[in-house]
Amino acid sequence: MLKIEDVTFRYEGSKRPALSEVSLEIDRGEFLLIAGLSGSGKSTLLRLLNGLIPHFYRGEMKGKVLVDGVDTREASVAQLSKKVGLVFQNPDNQIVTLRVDREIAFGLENLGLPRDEIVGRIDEVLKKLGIEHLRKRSTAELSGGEKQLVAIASVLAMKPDVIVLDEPTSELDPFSSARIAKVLGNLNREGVTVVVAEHRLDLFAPKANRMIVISNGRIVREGHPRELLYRGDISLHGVRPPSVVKLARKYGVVGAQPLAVGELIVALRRGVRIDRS
Amino acid sequence: MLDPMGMVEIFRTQVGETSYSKLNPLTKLILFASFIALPLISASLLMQIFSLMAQTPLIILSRSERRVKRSLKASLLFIVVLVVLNYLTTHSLEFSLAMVLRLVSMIIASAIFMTGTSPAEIGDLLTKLKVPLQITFSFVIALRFIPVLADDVVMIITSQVSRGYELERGSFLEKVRRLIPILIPMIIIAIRRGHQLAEALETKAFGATEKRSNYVVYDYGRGDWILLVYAIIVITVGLMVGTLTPQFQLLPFQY
Amino acid sequence: MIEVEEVTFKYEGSGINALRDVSLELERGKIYGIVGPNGSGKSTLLRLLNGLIPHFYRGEMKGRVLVDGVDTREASVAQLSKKVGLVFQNPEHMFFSETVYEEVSFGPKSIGMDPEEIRESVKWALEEVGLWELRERSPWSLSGGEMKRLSIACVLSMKPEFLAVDEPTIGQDSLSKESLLEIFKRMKGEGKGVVIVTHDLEWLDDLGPDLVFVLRYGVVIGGGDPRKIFSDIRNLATNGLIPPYRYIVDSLLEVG
Repeated sequence: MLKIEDVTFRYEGSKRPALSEVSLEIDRGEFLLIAGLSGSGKSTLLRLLNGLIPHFYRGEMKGKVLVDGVDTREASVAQLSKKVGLVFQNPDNQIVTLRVDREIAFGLENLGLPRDEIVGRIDEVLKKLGIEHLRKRSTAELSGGEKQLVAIASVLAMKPDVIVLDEPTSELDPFSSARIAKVLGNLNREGVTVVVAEHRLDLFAPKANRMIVISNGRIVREGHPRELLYRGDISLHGVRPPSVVKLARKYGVVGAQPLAVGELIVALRRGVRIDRS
Repeated sequence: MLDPMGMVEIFRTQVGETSYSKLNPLTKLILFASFIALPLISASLLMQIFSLMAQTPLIILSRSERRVKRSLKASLLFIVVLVVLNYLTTHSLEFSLAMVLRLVSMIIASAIFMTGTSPAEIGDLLTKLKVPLQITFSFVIALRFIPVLADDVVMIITSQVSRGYELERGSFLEKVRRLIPILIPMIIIAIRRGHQLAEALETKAFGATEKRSNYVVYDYGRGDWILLVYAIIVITVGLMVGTLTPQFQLLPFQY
Repeated sequence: MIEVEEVTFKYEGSGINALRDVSLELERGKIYGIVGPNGSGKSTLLRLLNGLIPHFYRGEMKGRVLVDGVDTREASVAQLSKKVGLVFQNPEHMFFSETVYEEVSFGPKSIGMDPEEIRESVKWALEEVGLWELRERSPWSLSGGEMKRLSIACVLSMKPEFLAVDEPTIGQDSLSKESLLEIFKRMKGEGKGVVIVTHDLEWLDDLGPDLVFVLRYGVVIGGGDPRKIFSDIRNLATNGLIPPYRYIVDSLLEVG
């Protein structure tokens, strides 16, 4: 559905390319986790997916990005917004209106949808994310976590085929972060394709069914999170396996590769092998 | 000395649900304009008393007694100065009193409007009055970002103060120079926020179509019609009061 | 030593106390963790330590804070910043100089160190956080992790004896979090008192604090050995905190 074909991109004014020879295919229904250090090229990759690159950011681009077979260079960001929704890191800088329901309506108004349709979508998306109680709240008074949920809701309301999130929890506390991870997990189970760049592997790896690691603008690892995180060598790229993986190793769990605490507990209770050292 | 909590408080946009707040913003604007105009029709004390009384139902409908009281308290000094000045120049107690009541009347009208109207409604109102989208949208965005930027300013100042920075020291020129550690981060952060906002707007298809639809629609209900009629009556009576010859006025001001 | 004695503080215009009857003692050469959910008063507590409260934030304050025996009300924030360095969550709020070097020398200049001393302390601070090589760069050209470390250096260069840090791990990647661990451990080794306010208990556990305080609704509801605090996973969870995973696993295994 989304296809990046051998893309190299260099921002105007920068010497090194932010991405080099990147190829990636994203299929419907996937939950793709993108790991990598800050500045590794994660954000650049995400901006390619909804056409912000090359439409909004200037630079030199080689290769092409296809969204449902359409080259992103041939479509406007607005057209692409119906296919690919992008949620940014800092919720404060992406909320544009003063009330939650208006915020969700904003993108839909821009698309010129009829009012009944807008109202219906607001109801639907608030319910889906479990934030109906925020409907009439002022956006300025929300907590960071609530703001990010509203930002997700406002993108989701545009019914994109894929929802792409750029470090959605990096400004949030662990509790709100866990909530975001859970919401995204649920959405994915309902069939929404999710692509998320994150540092918090402990929360997102258990939800993902595919993971890539980016380092210096290149995709250096690709596979199932279990496979990647239980292989010792991703540390080379600055990505640290989450604590559950370290604990599973410490306790000598063999025969299972738990990523969530629950899985680890189950594995340990089954007594796969517990070596308390 | 700064009071960050207080600064943010000013920009709270939550509007309580009252019979007034539920009115069509156009009605609220008409009422507001009427009650600003009313005390200006004539300088007589009678007119001012009439305009104060005519506003009482609105205070009750909007439950804005507290805001009214607060606004009046805040302008107390100004009011006192005005009375004294007026008295000193005209030597007429009635005139001074009338001027004060005129001011009070206008303060009350503003307080009612501000308590019962959200900034978003003002934005919608501007749109309805055919103000171009770019302008109304800038207005809403400004309101949205004022508290965010106010927070930034507080954080910038506290950061610099924690580095031994003292703003209030030295001569005037020195003070201006001392603003640099506050102004530069402020400008850079505002630019960054603006850039990210532009990105977010782009992804939400802002400006994509000429036929932007409207989620919020206001109907013109019974309450709106009643208050519209009320405004017309009040202004008509006001005009009549204004044309009365001085001797018919309750406490006339003689020119 | 910093002594917080029965402090109650209410911000002007607020109906509730941000802190209530808080008493703590903080010593040099130790790492303290202050944890709690949003709005629990963690940041307010931090603002007390270098006198931002009551000098800068208006409100009603009861009790007192003594820094090496000096009441914070009797000293200016500038004077106190020589003793207690406060590092804020967002480094971008402080940068205004053309180079990293100048940025770090702002603090020492403000508090009136002599030029020789400034040179020495700026070099020391930049080496301490591993940014000496980047001293000619613009602060804005740095990566997120480097900016964070620069913000620490900007405070360290004033040679404070206490370092109080607000949410150091927010927005940081794994590598940056690791380098922060190293920096704070080294500070402790050099005899400085390190006070960390954080939500991130996993990272705090890696840091190995000497003492952890739990705040809720402005009250210190628990304080003591980190093992004791972290093993009480139910208490942490009801206070909106996620305990370190190893404690969750241990306690769940014991139950089963």
